[in-house]
Amino acid sequence: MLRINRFTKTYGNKVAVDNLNLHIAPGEIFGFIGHNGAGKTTTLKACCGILQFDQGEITVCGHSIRKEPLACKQSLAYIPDNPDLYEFLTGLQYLSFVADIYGISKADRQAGIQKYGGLLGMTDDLSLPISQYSHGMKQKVAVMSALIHRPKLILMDEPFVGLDPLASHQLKNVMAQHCAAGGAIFFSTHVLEVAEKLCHKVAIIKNGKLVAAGPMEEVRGNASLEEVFLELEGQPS
Amino acid sequence: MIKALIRVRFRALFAALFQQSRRKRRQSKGMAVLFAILFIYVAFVFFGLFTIMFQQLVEPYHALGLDWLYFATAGLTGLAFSILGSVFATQSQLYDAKDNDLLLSMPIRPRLILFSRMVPLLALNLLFSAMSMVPAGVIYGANVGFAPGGFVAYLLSTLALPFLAQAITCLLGWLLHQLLQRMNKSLASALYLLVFMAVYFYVYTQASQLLNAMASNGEAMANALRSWAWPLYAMGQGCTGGLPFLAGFLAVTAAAFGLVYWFLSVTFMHSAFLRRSVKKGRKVDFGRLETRSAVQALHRREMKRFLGCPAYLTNLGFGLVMIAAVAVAGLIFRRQILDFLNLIPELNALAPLLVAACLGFMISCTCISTPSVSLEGKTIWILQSMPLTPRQILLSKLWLHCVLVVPLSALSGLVLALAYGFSPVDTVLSALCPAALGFLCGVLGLVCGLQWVRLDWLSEAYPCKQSVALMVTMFGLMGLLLIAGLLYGFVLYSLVSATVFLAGVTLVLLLLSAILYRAAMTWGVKTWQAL
Repeated sequence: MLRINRFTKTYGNKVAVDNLNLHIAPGEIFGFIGHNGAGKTTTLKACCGILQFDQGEITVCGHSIRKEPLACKQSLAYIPDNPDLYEFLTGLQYLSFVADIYGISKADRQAGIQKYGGLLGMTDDLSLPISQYSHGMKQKVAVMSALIHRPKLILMDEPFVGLDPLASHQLKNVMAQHCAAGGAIFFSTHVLEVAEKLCHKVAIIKNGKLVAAGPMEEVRGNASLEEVFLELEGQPS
Repeated sequence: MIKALIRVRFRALFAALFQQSRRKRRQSKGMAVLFAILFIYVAFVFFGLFTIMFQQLVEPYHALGLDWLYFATAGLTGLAFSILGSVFATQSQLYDAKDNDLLLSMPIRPRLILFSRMVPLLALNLLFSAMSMVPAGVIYGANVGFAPGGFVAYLLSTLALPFLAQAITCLLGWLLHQLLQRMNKSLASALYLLVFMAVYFYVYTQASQLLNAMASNGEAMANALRSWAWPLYAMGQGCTGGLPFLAGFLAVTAAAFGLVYWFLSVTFMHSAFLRRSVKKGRKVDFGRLETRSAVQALHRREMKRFLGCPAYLTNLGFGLVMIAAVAVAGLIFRRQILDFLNLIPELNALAPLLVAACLGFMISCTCISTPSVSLEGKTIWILQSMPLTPRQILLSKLWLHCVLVVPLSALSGLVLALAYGFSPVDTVLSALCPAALGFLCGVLGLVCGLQWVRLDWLSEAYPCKQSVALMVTMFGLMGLLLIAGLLYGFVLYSLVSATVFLAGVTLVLLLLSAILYRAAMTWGVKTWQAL
């Protein structure tokens, strides 16, 4: 579904991500963890075609993000860590805009908005302008906009930040359902407990370099993910 | 602490002008020179306008012994210029700045935050009031000469006037903020635009009568000023040597500024956190959901942004109103203008050029496509992560500009051509030339918007009002019109007819548009991808 081969991104002289290799298969929830500035957001942005990169190749469903960006973007959805949305639109208008771009039929968008709006407790607020939304409400609309066009791959940057416990729980369920239906999710998080419970596979990145990756049980071994992470970061647990 | 806050404000201001957003590199020396030339050109235009105005006033007022009224008029003009030019900037700088929450959470007194925000606005007001005060002083010095102490008083008055202007604009900015929080933002902005336009149009159409009235009814005006605007009366008297009056003016200005500053500092926390009344969401009628193509959705999004963003609507929509106003004014004053043109047959033959020039000036102020790239701001990830080509995105921005500007410009030209009985060829050219300029404005705006893109603004007022891209587009087009005018006036006037020249200009505009369009679709696409 998502293949990252020898991906390298530099900002001036600083190497943000160095020779990263990852493969996310259909049906997988893949957690991406690392300290602040490790290169997680850079990787996620490059995977969805927002960021141009220096070396390597990223493919989504077999299409190169460099050579066929539209084909890749048609199959993926991205949720950034800070959901800045169009404040001049209402929630419903924003979702309709996203649906229009992805060519979603009226019946499908209606069903999608009703389903995810109900699930995340947003239905009644969709008629309000986004400028009146709290951070959490914007995050919910961003999640809804990602799900509404039924992408095969969802890239999420810290998706649980700002969500209330109920919405967080619902999102985890939605993620599990998405993967059960053959989709894949690649997401970054600092909440190691969530990653540990939710992910089939995990990758740990440190200063732009991959230091561990694989099935959760393999990476974790007999320890907790937090202990593994702290050990790799050189911190006593 | 206050120094640090002011430094941050000025750094933001300079970074906005001289630093590229993402690439974080300074503008080249060539660009700095270009901006300097641009600044001199703008200053030259405004100083020129006010020089002509004060040249008309200085002798009649001096002959009547109303020298003080001359300076009071200069003060009044500077004050009006400051108020009209900076109310929206004041409102957005004081209350809509996105770092208000951050600064108010720090151990900084709100009044210091307020003061640090007022300092750049003071500099802006100084610039605005100097536009009228400096030419007034120069004309007076050259024609009459200052009384002993008068020059120092004039200098002090020039420096004090921005404080009075600041007090008034801050109060109006506060009022505007209260209004915007309680009303539909776009409706409030449109209302402001209409009131502003009505006042502007009235003053513009009555300018010559007002100047004549000011020159011939000095005594009546003096009495009015004495009773209704004592600070300006005192300022005028001070500039002509009445030092106690100067002291009075300075005291009133200091008191007004102090009082407004005190009031705003007391209400700053409340006003900064005043949020629009949150309405309860209505039940969504899913049956009314409409579907559109991706291109239509992009167009609708651009239009929604234009109508839903007060800074965008007021600053760039103003030009649209002016384009229509030129045609309306041309119809209203048709008889007077025709009489005037018939007096000078040479001028009559140039009527198509005059129509194109008037419309061209207004079109130059309507750079709707220029801020559209920067306005994406932090939401740029949305379009970038969608299955859209950069070309589709850039074309949607150009579409908004063209759909609003081009037909209106062509229609205004056509209406004027028909109203003034132009020949069929001139009629066609009168519609075609403004339409071509409108299109050029769109593509030039798009290219400049990409070249000087800033996505990290704190207030929407920056891309819509103060950005380098906007200045280059607006004054670049005005410069182009000026060059064309000078070329015809000094070189081609005796060689080709106005019709041939207008046809040539239209062709050049179309050619330039084609070149810039190509640049936008090649270089522009790459620039967008790299944002």
